[in-house]
Amino acid sequence: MSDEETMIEVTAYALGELEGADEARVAARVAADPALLREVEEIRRTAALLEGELAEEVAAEPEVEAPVVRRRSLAP
Amino acid sequence: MGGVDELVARYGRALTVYTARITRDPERARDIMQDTFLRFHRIQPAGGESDLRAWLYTVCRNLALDQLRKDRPMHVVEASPDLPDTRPSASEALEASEAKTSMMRFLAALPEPQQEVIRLKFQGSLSYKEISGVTKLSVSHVGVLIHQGIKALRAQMAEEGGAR
Repeated sequence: MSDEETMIEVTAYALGELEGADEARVAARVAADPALLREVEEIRRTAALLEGELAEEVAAEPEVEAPVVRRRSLAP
Repeated sequence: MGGVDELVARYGRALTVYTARITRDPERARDIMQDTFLRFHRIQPAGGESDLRAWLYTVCRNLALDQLRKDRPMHVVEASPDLPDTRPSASEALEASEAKTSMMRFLAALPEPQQEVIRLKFQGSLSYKEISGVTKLSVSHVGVLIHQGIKALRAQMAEEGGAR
């Protein structure tokens, strides 16, 4: 596995996308390598920043009027 | 899972934001979002919350792309089956730079496929697998795009921090 492939997998691990044996394998590797652990922390920090800022973008969108859906759905 | 009203309240605005990036027209995006929930009401797709969320994003995306095909010359759509490039022009970037945070400016400058999967992941809360279902990209390709996007954002944030 190339360095880039390893980092793609570490990103997936940091974002909770791995399961079972894959998750356990990468978790063990990260635990044994301080550089990889820092990578995981940085990826999660960036992810948290993204989630926060993208949530603000959604919050700035006007409220959706659910009754419109109900009225239109009842139309013949 | 609640009814349509609850789903609209929970996902309507995020779906509108996502769709508006495809249509580049907020009003049309709101119409597409409403149409998506009408279809949801009519079809009543089965599944848990994550399935329904992925269904909503998939339908919004398909309706938005259908709209683009109607609006634009065929050769544009045929030549590029993926989303249009929504990266801002120089003047748009300058205008946006005054209003947005560094992270949002850097995100807007990423290649469109990276932007889309990052938004689906961190704004839509979809998993790699669900993003694959919405975009028709392979799960591994989704992983590569998200990795590349985060890597680029980290580098730009670090560069900006170092330049201060």
